[in-house]
Amino acid sequence: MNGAKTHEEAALRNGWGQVLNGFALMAICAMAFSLRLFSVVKYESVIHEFDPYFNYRVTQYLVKEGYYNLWNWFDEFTWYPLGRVVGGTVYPGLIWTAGLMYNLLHYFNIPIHVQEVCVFTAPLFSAFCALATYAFVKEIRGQGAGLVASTFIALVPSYISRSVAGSFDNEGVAIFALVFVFFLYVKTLNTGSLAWATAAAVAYFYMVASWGGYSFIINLLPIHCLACVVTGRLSPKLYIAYAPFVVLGTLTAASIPVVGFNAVLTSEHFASFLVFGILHAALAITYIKDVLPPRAFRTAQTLVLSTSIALLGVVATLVIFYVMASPTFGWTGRSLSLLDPTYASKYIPIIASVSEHQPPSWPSYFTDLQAATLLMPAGLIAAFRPLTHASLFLILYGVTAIYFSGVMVRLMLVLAPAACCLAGLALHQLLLTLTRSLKAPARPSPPADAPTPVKEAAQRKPAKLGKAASRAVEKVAAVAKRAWHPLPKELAIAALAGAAIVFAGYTVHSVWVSAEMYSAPSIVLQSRSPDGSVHVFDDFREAYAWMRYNTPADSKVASWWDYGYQTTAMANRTVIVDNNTWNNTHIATVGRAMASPEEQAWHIYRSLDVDYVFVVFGGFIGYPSDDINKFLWMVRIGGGVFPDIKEKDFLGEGGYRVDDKGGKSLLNCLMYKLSYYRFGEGALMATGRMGFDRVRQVEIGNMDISLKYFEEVYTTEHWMVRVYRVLDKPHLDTKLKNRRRTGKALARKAPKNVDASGALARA
Amino acid sequence: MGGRCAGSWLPVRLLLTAALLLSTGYAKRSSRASSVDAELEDSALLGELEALQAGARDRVVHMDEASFARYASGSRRPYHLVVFLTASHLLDKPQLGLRELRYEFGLLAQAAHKLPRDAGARLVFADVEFKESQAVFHRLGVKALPWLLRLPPTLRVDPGANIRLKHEDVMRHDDYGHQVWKAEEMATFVAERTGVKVDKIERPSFFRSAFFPPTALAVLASGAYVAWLLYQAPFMRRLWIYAAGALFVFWFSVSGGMHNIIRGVPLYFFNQQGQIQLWMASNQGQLGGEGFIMGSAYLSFGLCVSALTYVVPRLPSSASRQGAGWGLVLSAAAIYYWIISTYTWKTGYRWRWYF
Repeated sequence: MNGAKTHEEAALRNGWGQVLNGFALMAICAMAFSLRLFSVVKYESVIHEFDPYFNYRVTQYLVKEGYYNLWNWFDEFTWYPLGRVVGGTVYPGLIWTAGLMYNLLHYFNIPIHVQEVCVFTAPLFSAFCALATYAFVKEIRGQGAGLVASTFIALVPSYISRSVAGSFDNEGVAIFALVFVFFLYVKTLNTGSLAWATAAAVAYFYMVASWGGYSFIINLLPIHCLACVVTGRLSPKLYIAYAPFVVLGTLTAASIPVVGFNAVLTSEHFASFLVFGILHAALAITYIKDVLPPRAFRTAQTLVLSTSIALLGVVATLVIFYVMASPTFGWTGRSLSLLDPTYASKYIPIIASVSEHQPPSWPSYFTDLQAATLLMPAGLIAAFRPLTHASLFLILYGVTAIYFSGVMVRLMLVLAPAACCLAGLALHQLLLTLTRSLKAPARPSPPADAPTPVKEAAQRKPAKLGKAASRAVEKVAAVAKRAWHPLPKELAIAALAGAAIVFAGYTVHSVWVSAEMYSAPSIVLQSRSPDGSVHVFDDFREAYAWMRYNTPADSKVASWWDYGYQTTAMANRTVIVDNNTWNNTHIATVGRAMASPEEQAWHIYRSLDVDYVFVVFGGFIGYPSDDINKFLWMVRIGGGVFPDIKEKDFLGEGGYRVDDKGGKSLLNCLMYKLSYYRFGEGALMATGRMGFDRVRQVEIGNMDISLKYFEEVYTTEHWMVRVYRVLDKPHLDTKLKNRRRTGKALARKAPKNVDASGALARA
Repeated sequence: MGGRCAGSWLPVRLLLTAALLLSTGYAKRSSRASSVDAELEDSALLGELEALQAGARDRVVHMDEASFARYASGSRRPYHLVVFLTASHLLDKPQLGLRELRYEFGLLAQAAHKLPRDAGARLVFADVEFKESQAVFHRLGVKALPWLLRLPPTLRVDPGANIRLKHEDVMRHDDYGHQVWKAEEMATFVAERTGVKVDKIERPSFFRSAFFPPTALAVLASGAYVAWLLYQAPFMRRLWIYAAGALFVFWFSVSGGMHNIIRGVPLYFFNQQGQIQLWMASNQGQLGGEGFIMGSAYLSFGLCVSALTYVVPRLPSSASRQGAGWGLVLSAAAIYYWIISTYTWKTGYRWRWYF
């Protein structure tokens, strides 16, 4: 009777626990979603940055033309005159997702604009990601750890940076997909159910469709499987988790056009097949060992071993000769840049020029992960106690992700879920110890499910290492297997308070980072005056709108590749290059034009049918990410293909400078002229000093700029975007256009004008 | 009268014409003879140089004062002389990198030697050492090394006199950067001045040698054997080794270890007062040392938490639990405070409350 009552009480408590758990999860989701809305509150509901504009444009196409037409879409608005096969070169996961949500909402007669759907996709999926993380860690270490981990990931700044409202980019849905695949894999490991395995393969299909980062999964799972095989954790559950995943996953991955046969042909995928073979071999050996008598097994073993060693020798020889024949030793550039971190900065300027490909320093970890960085080591140790299939997977995920994040700051995003899971694990174990100490009766007794020591370590004799370090660790391990006692109560309270402070600090940091650092759409800028008022710079949209309504619909617009996606999406005009940097030569051609003197640049642009050129210029208001600051990359990328462009010609005394001691080629190149045209007097308005550039903090070296082959057609309010028309024929006399010039300057430049009229006569 | 006069002048005219013809013929012959001499001399010079090149280890002719005077002097030469100036007593100065530069120069010389004869102008690569040829350095007006020069074939060089090279005929640190120039960069320099393009510099690479396949196989086999031994070894069953490995990877990454390698950042540097400077006050980068200190701080915080969770509850005596527990909590708090203050100092960030 009494027992039944206790049982009933426990069930009731468990029921309340579940309800509380559900509410906590809902609160976490709401927090994850609302934390990412700063960009909408502070600015407006607008698509951010560069790549999201392309995704937005493709989504618009999808909802207008349908899924099937997207598959076959050839976009002639980009990469003129080459065009781009969008259906075959885009990761469509994000676009499908947004399109599906849009259609669903419209099916229920909710008339929402497609832009709003795109803006709020990433926050929504970060809430889903919190749920997936909960499920993943729950599989590893129970509900409590899952809840803490999902709180961590809802707040983690690294993930916020890619999932604020308006940031409509692949990573927004891909991180959810990544964690979800891991959850399903671990679920299959724990249950051994083929249904979960199939679900994992389907989730992997969604991941491949969403982001190129899927190659991390297809390498991490084999590593885990191999580690299980090597450490004697081979089990039917492992087989069910891994083998169907590789087969179904590869088949489905290959059906995404952008991946296609790469799924079986490139080196990034080979590890999964190799481990697939090893897994089968290991299982076959186990089976044969069971079937054969011991002597026969030994003979068979010798036979198989010698044959496989011979085979491996042949394969190794072939690989060695392949390596000798290939200049990059058989690896693709991207994977080489992960294994040899210095590779990209040496050989691929287009990779090295992107800031998110730089290696992070120690403050980056604290900015992007904060308390998760501090708790991660404790989480790694907690995952070893006890070590299961699932916790081994988390350890491997954490270690590989943290290594790769050290190479490229961009991969911090892959590390963030691992760091949050490990931090959640650590904090959960700490809270468990502290609360049990508080609840413990005066006479200590070990709790039923207190962490148990690792048996393997305990049973073995001390190793022959004989080093002081190893002995110390042995001692700690020996302590760890003794009986469990509660901590002193006041100590437990102090530690709980400390944990609360650390977590509160994490929350404050994340909210601040979300509001201040990652919410700027970079298409609209804000500056705060000393009196607290906010000034908005909306020059980009102004310029794109001008182009949309004032240029012929079929005009071609050239700019540096950064602005390609925005131009096609907002100005609706054809561009020469864009942010999908697939054709280095084409980008180098634009770089070369920008770095050439005016006449030469005009010939290049005319050969590309360019009608308008625009440059982004920050010298007027002090916007540092302008084209003049990016210019050396144009020179480097241009010089990589056209050797007549040399970086040293653009460097002045002591390096890159735009004043009168700057490189001669720089002061005469098109980019300089288009940026600083009429700026001598223009700067007077902004700074009161003639030709004073507020970004470089110098007076520019060439104020006497006249244009013969280009004509200024529009400059935005704060001079941030300057649009020029490429003339059909050069001006007869450039000086007539510019009345402010002195007679002296006219006389000096006179001979060139003769050339111009001659050229016109010939034309 | 007039006709007679004309008749009397005729022989003189004829005589003059004959003399003129004779003298021009002689002049022509003598000039032909001198050009033949010059050609002979040229080919003799070239022959000597070719012999010297053949004898040189990497096709770079070593010249002293006498040989430099012999091969560089004159109003013209049938070749471009590309000279690398070096100094034996400065070879080990790392900031000059003369040894590496000389090696790269040798690679260029070997690659140029393999070009077909009709590839364009002839190139002769030479090096001159400071201690044995001080006069050459003086004549060239060399103030700092490294110094790579091209002596154009048409530049007049008088023995013993100063040699005035054009600015563009010299490769110096100021114009070409302070890094060790690669043979490819030197090849570009030479190609721009002489028109001879040396496209393919072959670096002797172990990967291309005949020894590579057997060595690689041997390394693979022995590696596999060692791995097998390790796999069998009992101490490899100890989990703490793997935990320590995982923690090491964590520590190395969060310290920005990769950042140090990729950017080639030193652990510390000496400031102008000669003191060790360990911290860089800018958010843009880091020094190696500060990174490892901060990485260790991150790691120690985690280890404190872990020890409080797993080790302290297993201590048998309540006094030791009390002491160790408080020690760990207080040190974790101190580390946390120190990390926060160092972070705000480094980045200049100040948190704002949004509540």
